[in-house]
Amino acid sequence: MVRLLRRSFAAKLLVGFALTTGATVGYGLVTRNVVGTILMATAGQVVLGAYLGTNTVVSMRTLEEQTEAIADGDLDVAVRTSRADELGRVYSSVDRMRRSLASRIEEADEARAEAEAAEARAQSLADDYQRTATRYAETMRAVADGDLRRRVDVDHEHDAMETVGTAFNDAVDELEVALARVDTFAGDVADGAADVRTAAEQIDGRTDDVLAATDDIDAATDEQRATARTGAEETADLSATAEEVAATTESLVERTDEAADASAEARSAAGDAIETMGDVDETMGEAVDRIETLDEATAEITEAAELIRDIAEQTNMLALNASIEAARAGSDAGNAGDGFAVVAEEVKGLAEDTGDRADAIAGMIDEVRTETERAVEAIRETSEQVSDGSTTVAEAVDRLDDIAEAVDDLDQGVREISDATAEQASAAAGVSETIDDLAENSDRTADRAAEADAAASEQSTAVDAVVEESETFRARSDDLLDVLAEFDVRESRAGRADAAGGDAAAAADGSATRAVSDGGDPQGTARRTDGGDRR
Amino acid sequence: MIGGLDAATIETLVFGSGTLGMLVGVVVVGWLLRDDTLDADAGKFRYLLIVPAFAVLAYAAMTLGFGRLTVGGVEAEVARYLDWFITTAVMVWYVGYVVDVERRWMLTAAAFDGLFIAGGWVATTTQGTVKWAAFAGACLAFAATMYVLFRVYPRSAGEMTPERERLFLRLRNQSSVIWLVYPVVWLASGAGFGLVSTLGTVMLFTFLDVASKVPYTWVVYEHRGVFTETQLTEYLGAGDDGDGAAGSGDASTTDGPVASAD
Repeated sequence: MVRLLRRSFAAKLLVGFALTTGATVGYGLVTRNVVGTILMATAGQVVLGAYLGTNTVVSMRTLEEQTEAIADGDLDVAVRTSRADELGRVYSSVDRMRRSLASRIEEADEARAEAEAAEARAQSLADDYQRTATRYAETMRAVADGDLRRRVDVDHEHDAMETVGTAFNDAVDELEVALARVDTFAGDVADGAADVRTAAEQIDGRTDDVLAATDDIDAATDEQRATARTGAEETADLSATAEEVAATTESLVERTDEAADASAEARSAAGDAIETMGDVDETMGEAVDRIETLDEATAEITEAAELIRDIAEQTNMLALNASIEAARAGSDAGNAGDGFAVVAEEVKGLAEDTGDRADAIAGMIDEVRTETERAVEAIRETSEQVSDGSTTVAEAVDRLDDIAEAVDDLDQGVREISDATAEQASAAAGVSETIDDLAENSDRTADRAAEADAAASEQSTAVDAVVEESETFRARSDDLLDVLAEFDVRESRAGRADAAGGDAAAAADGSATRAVSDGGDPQGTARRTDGGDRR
Repeated sequence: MIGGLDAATIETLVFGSGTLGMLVGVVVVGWLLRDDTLDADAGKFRYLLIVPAFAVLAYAAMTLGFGRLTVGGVEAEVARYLDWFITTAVMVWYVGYVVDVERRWMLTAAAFDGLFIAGGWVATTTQGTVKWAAFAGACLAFAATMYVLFRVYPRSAGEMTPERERLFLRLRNQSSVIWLVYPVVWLASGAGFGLVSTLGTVMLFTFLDVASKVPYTWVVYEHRGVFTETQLTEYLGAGDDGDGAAGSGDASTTDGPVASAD
């Protein structure tokens, strides 16, 4: 009952009515007074209203105030009542609503604070990103303008920017290395072009040498031809003299025959004989002189042949050098070297032919000399015998018997002389023939030399073309180096590339300096060795 | 008149019922005084006890046949007026006390209330012009009391929590409304126009007395949470801060004791 009264306003009202009505009815029954009963009823209603109504009005009023305070945002006011009836429950509902609202607002405040913090973080992050991006962009612009020494300062705080920065730096590193390699390569190409040019110039010089050498050969061949002609002429003279000697010996034989026949009458003729002997002796001397002249001529021919031999050897050496250069030029410049090699081979063959011919001439000349010496020896002996004969003829005046024997001996000696002279004539004819061959060979040598000259001239033109091409090539590679110089590469990076490449040097200046020294050393060495070989 | 009982017996029964009724109020205040969770000094429960206790004494006296006095040929219940004079003054003061109304206004209200009761006594015990002049004066004093209670008290009240405000409003409104009936009953009684017999007047006043005093103590009991340590701290703290708002967290947890007290 009490619980029901506490929990239900209607129950309170009903009980209140029952009590007041009971009191009123009791009052009426006791007093039988209408006015009093009315007063009692009124008092009952007033009491009921005062207690229940006031309570309700007051509760509603404070609840209204509190809900208004809550509506105005004051959530700290606790809404509570001692009532447990409907109004009490309204109070606790409102209080739950207030607490819920407070916690929601608190949550909302927390959420807003979190959102603001997150926004601040995001803003800060965006600012960081923007700053980093600006720094990156500046460096990237510098790199794009060719300053490859620059690297972005990698932002390690933000993964994305770190990835971008690292990737960019790696890319520039690789680009730098690649450019250093291209630079080195361009330097090498420029050096190669310079080397080709130097080599071509050397070939040009060598070709000039070859031309000079072929001119020398030409001149020497002309000289040889002239000398051969002189030799031929002198050999012809020798032949004529020998025939003359033969004729003379025959007439001598006739004279000796006549002397033999007229030995008796020889006394008068002895003087003639002695006189004739003197002539013979004189002629012999002349013959010896001629033969010695021939000997000298053959010596000159030998010298000429040796000269030709030397020239041939020199030509051979030149051809050898030309072959070497051709081989080197061939590795550097391709077709031009091949053509030069062919020419060098030709020159070499020609020189060898010339040398062989000169050897043959020298051999023949040796034979001629041997025979000539033997003839001179024979003529000296004959001269002595003639001298002896002259003495004998002088003594024959006294000793005619001896004369006959002497004449026989003389006859025999004259016959031997005749045979020797015939042999000599025959040998001279051989020499003449050989000299003709020699002259022919000289003509051929001259022809070959002219061909070599023409070939060397063509080669010179080709080498000039090679020089021109290599100059163009070098100019292109210099252009490339100029373009590469527009990229600034870090020193450390360049040094590293240098060490890695083995023969690098990234800077254009460095490569230029190196080109001079590189070109100088090997060339100098080559020249020295070449010169040494040639000498 | 009913069941063979004469008017005197019935009147005794009525006074006895009134005494028993007032004892209920004494018991209620006794609960308040014995409750350890409450601050009896802060609640001024001993002063509050005067209200039902003095009424019990008055009714006990009237039940036993004392307290009647014949003044100027008119028999009047002096015990009743003495009771009213004391207890209504305490009730008016206590209404102001729970919301810390300025002392002078509480005294002013008590004084007007005393004038009201005194005017009633004079009007009861006199005749003719004096009677009606006294009645008019008493009515004016009552109006003045109501003015102080309804106009001055709220303005001069100290800082209030909603609970204290509710207690104040309930005590004030309930008492004032019931007190409005007293002059009407007086006019109908033998002292007034004689429309109601003496027994009828005794029954009406006894009903009104019990209905005004016992629920008064009961309302205080219902709102005894105001005098728990927690709410007192809250209330005094709010006063110190100059902030009308009470603390929220702790206050909500104290709902339990407040509710369980009913």
